[in-house]
Amino acid sequence: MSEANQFEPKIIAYVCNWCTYLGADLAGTTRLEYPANVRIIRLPCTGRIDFNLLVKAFEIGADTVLVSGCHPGDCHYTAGNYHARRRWMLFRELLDTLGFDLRRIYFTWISAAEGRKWQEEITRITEETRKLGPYRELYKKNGNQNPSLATEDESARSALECGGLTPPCPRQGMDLGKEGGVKPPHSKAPLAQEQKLRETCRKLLEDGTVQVVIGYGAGGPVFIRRAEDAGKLVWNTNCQANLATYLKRKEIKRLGKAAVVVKACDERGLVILEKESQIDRLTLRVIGMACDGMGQPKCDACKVHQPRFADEIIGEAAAQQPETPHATETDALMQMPPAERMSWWAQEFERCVKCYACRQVCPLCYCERCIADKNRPVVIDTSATPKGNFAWHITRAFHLAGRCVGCGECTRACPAGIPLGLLNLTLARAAEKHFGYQAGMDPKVEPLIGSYALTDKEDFIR
Amino acid sequence: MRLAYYPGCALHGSSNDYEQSLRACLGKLEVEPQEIQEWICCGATAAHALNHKLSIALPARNLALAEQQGFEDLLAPCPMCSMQLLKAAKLMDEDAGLRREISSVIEAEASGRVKVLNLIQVFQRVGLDRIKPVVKKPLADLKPACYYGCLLTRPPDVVKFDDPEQPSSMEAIMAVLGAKPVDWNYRTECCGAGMTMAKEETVLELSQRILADAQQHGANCLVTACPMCHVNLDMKQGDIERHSGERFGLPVYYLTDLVGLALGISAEELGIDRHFVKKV
Amino acid sequence: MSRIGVFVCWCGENIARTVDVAEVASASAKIPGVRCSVHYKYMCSDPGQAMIREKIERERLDAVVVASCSPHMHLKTFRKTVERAGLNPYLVEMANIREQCSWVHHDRSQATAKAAEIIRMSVEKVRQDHALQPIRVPVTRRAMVIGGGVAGIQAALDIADAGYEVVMVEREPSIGGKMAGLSETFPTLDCSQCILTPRMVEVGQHPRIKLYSYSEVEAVDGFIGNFTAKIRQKARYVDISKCTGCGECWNVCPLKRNPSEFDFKMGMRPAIYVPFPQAVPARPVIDSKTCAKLIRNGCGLCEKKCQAGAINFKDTDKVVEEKIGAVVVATGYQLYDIGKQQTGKLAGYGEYGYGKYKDVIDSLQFERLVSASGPTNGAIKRPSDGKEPKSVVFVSCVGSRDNAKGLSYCSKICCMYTAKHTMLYKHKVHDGQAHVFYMDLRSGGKGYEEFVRRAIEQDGAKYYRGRVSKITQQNSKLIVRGADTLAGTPVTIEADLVVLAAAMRPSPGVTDLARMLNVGYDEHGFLLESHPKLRPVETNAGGVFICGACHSPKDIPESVAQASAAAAKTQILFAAEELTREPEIAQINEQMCAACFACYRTCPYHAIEQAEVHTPRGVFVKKTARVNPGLCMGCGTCVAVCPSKSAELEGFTEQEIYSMVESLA
Repeated sequence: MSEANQFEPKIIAYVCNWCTYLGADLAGTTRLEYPANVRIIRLPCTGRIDFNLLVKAFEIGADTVLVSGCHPGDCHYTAGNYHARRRWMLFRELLDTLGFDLRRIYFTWISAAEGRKWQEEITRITEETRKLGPYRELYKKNGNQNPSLATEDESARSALECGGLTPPCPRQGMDLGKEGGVKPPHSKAPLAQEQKLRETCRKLLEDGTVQVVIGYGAGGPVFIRRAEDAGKLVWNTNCQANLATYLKRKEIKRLGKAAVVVKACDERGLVILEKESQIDRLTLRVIGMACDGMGQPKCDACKVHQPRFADEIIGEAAAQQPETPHATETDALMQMPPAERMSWWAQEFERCVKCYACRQVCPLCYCERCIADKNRPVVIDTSATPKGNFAWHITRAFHLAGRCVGCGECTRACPAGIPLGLLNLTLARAAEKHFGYQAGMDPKVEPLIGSYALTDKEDFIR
Repeated sequence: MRLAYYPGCALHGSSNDYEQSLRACLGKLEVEPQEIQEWICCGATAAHALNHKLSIALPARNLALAEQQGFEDLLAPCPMCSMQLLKAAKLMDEDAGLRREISSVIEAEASGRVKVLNLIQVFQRVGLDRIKPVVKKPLADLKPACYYGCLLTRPPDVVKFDDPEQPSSMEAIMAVLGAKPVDWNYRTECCGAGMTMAKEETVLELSQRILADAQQHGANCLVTACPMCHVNLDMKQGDIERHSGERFGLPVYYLTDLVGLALGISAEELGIDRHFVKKV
Repeated sequence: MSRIGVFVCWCGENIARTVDVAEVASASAKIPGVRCSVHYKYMCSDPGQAMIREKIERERLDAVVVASCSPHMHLKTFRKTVERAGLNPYLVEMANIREQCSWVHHDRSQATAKAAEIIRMSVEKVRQDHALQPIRVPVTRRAMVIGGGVAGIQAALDIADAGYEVVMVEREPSIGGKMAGLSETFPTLDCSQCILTPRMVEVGQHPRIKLYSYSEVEAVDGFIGNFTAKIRQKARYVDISKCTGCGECWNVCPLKRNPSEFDFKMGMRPAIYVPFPQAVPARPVIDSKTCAKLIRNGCGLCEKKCQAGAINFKDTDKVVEEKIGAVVVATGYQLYDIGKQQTGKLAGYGEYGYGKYKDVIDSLQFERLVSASGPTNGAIKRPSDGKEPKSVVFVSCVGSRDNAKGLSYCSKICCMYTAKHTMLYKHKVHDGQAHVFYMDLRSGGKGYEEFVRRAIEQDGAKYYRGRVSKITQQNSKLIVRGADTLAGTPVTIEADLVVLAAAMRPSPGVTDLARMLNVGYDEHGFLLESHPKLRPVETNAGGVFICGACHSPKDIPESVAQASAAAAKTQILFAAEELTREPEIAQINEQMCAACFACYRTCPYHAIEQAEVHTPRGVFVKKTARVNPGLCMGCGTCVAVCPSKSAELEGFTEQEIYSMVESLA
């Protein structure tokens, strides 16, 4: 039996009503004994188990979390566990990047007939958690005294999106002139397409095809309502912003039919928005600008210099640049052990003040009542504490799983210089690795979340 | 094509006519069987009945030698040898602990990279469609009963070759050679195997049934790919006839004999004149 | 909820032996909002339930937590209890401190502490519970029966006799299924067609049964009580309303030698044919693959001969729609295809020579031989030379109970019909000898064991316990090599005829049908019931019932029993004025919904629609997702994928679940 000072793990199990819950009942009916550390929360289906529940469990002090449901093919609701499985495949990658100890998260398929399997799994999980000890590293900052790690920060960040127009944070504003034919950054010299763009938009406004053109201006985005103002539109290497984000604004929608100027990377976001019924391609006029790179690091690996689905395509991109893999940014991070990784992120998130600029600037964050603003219940702690910041950033990243097109605006907009794009990159790479999926590249492909395949890998599920 | 060649006791001993036939035939097809240096017994006869680990260690050493000597494929014309080699490879593949143990016993690394082939598989590797164009003398008057014996296709999860109950790979080769293989019932029935020495009546009885069935289905010869079966059906045919009172007179060919003949090699070069039952 | 009552049950000794119920009750009393916390020996008993009701009234409780067994045991019981006391039944939670606590932990202090925490979780949950009302949905009181075999016929007649309309869809030109082709049935040896055909006629003539023969179901939309089915009537090329069934056409058809499907290729039929004389409908169909007129515009004799002008070579498939409220699936079975060397696991049994030797046949083919209306008029003749076989070997378990190359399950009926076959054979060939190779003898039904004994003792069948390794041919005899494990010897039998008892498998195409209906199926294709013991004819798709061999291998008495059971379930569905459904389903807050439609894509039941919100004047406001309360089954997958959490699942709302989790802090 347990000694006086033996650590008793706190284990929270989210289980489905029809299989695992009944399996646990069967373990009871057959009097199979197991340790008393687990607390079971019954839900109708693993499909109902949102990732926020796992995060919440850790927040309240669980040492280990278990998610368990029906075997694939046996779901009482036919497909709930397939959706759950796909969700977990991606969520684990995100948690791993953030430095969560994946040894403390278990997934199992336990059927109503598998009372013994329930007993064995709970016993095993309890004992392994006992050996690992209490989960105290959650969100711990420990401090990065290691100077080499500081350099790693720099190089990690330099490989990402960098500073906006007036970076407040001293770490930003690095010049990224790279070799290989990319134009120098932040040049305001007009590119050849500018004239054609102005002409096109003038015509669109003149003949009433659209009532407003959302485009780039000298000092930021402009909303041209009169044909004679078309001269205010510019096109140069300063046109980094993703203007698709304005399509979600009510005040813009009220202006009438719109035309939007997009680069090919922004256009990918439009593909997603259309799939999610946020824009009507029949009334929206898309003006695609061929782009040879804006001098951002993301442009090095960009595969889509030439817009493909726009109504008007202005310009021809130079030959595709050889693809440099996005590899190294997250690799450096993944070489650290999980606890160190989490410390790294804790340090980054320490600067987050919950300004939600990342949310506001993202074209795909269009919910009128964001989950962050929900308070019954409080899913995400709104305070700028480690708990609240991790909760927000996990949610933001995961809500964009399979949707983020890598436009980099979130990182650019963050006044605190947090490498937000890294989290989105993790999930984008996971989506490509597991499902061959790239957001916004093919309008015919079904969105990632909401579909499933019978062959989705489940090597992490017992 | 370069292959490791494991003759086993049979092809260097009482069935060296098989080796003669094999070398002549495969040579014509540009297949180079190179005998493994310092090969040892495969353990077929007694080891598996007496000591399980020994029965794995013996073939394992041969596999390790083949690999050391730089081969990727190994031809074991005797199905008993090939079956033992495949069995050892499979057991070690499934049990890493066993592999380590055997490796230390045989003092060599038994990695399982070498692929063991039987004779029919070698012809399949060459490609039946590449043999067909070089057939000079189609065997139009031959109606062979293709005799596989008990070990070429069984146990199915070890040898993983053809269908264990209704094999047809040899018939496919016969078709390419222009012969007309007959459909008969005793393709995979036991001939009596090593009982030739220990209890001869068993062989006389079992092999008699094979010959009788072949004859009944209109065969005028048999073709086999096992040296033991050949001994029982050919060398012992006279004894069988005397024992049963039936007259068979069915020549028994090695598979390499027939392929060789069809390719234009002479019967003497193939060693067919050394068989006991002559073609009439 | 602010006046919560906690009721801790001892369950006799089951809980109280390990959990200190008094301590747990007093700990629960201290939770804010708990007005009373008591314990009692048997909460589910009458006095226990009375206690709950009394407390509800006395303490004006607005929510109840019962700490006892699993909700799967008694949640329904306690819901009824509180309803009687005037409290909404969905304001009850059960804390499982028996199956998931007292029965699995033996340390008293640990179990007690855990029980207290479990109750705490339930209290926090019930605090957030909403009062819910059951959902009412209208019902179309018409049933569709898919499959016209004995199970389908029974179900259709039961439902129709109860006063409801039935639409029956049968894929073959006639109903009757496999039973119409059998000779005599065990254990009574009554003539199969004699007992079946009157029922077939009843179906054909029933005023409330609409029969679509030679038809298949193409699509089923909707939900319980409100289905729409699309049925494809395949082209018969004969107008059955004009046809009188006189038979001139099939007599005059020159193409008489087509293998008969009904005779399992043991006999022949013309290109225009009725599958068997007692077919319902007794009208012919033209085989478009062999008819000369349809292939190359030749012949046409039947059209010329037909006095009723019923032949129509220009016929096409027609798709019709039927509105129904319940579906009964009775699609029956097919036999394992023995001879075909299939790829993968079902490798066939080539060593038995099926397909190679004409005198090796399967059990259904033997039925046709023995059947008085069969291709040989009931005379047992060898297919190869027509001679009477004097020695017949019956091989059991061909494909069944074989993990290596067949199916793992037992086909249940073969032991019985093999015994029957030996008897029928002996009754016709008095000097014949039947040999049976078996693994076990499974004869568990009423009169079944006695029946098998008769075959052995009275009709002299020889039984060998062992399997057959090979069947080969010698001259005109079949050499069957098997084993007699009880005697410990190999057995070789020279047979004139071999009958293989092939495994029963679900009918082809049943998995496509299952997907149309949202019914699950196992790895063999058998349809899944809701619960193997307590709900054997219902499925997890509301309003869809199954019966007969499509569920699992079974004989005629069981198929008929299941069919009546499915009919009874259908009638329960139709008996209510309206359908009430559990209200623990999803809801979408249309104001907050961002109309991304992730839920619409995810819902396994297609229960979410893309809808619009309008002002009362009809001005468009916004798009929204909307749950169809008739279809939603309450899985909550939509909730998990909703980014704004506009979707909520009643009974498992975010608020409820998070309260439970946070109570564990």
